[in-house]
Amino acid sequence: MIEQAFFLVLAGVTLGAALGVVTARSVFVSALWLVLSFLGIAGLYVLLDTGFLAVIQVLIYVGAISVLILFAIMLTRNIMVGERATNNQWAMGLALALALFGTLAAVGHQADWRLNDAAVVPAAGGLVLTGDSLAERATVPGALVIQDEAGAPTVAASGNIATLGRAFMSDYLLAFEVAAVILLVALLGAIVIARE
Amino acid sequence: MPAVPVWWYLIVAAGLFCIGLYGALTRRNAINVLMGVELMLNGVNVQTVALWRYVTPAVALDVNGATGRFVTAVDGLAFAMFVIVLAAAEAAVGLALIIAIYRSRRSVRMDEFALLHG
Repeated sequence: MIEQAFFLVLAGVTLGAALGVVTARSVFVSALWLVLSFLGIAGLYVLLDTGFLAVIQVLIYVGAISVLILFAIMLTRNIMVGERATNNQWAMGLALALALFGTLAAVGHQADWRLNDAAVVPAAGGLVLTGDSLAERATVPGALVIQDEAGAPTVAASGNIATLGRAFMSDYLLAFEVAAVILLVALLGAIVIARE
Repeated sequence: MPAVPVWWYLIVAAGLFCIGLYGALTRRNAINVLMGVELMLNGVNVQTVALWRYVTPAVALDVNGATGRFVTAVDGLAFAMFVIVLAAAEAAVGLALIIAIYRSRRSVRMDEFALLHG
């Protein structure tokens, strides 16, 4: 129940601040609402047991991207004060956004998501064994190996961050390197484009 | 069974995406359009992480003093990380473009950016 209460508060803050972003007349006020919305999303990540992603969210979105946006606002300041904030297709945009939201909400509510309740292994069932030799197989401190009835290891599981680190260095190695190159190119591109 | 049903997260994610879409489609200031795009990317991330958290097989245990939720795969988490990386790159280049156009045209109004219009 307390988790649901926290969720409702965080969801209200996130969506309310997001509405503030798109309705505020001043672009500066919009940016401040955006910061609040990012913080609410970080709270949702904590509720989802992904504290690492919450920290990343605060560091990159609240820390870096928001400051970047505020810099851009300062550099282009007072350019649109007193003007209309929306263009003349706002009615069409509103209709499209509402229709899409209705569709997405209906799908999210109705679909059978095959939740992982059945996959949670009971600790007392004799299926989960731990020990030095098994931990060695998993190669990560604090990891655990799930065995089948015959005693053969079937699944190696560990905490979020350890698994994520291994995934970046194995399954997603190519994507990881490409992301690094993209960041470098974006860095150079931003400098070249914005230079006098 | 977690206390919060997964579709609550999906509705919040859909709301973020659609609010961002509305902002990106209707605002005149280019910086506001970029904010709308950031909101859309965040909505996608919330949805990815929520579905990953609720669908990926996991074990909730206390093992050798290490309590917590043990997972077998981090597909959704890795996907969300790459989305954050690309969003950061997009924000940097996008804001640099806005500043460059502002320098040459003294404007950040989207409807005046028609240099490539035939």
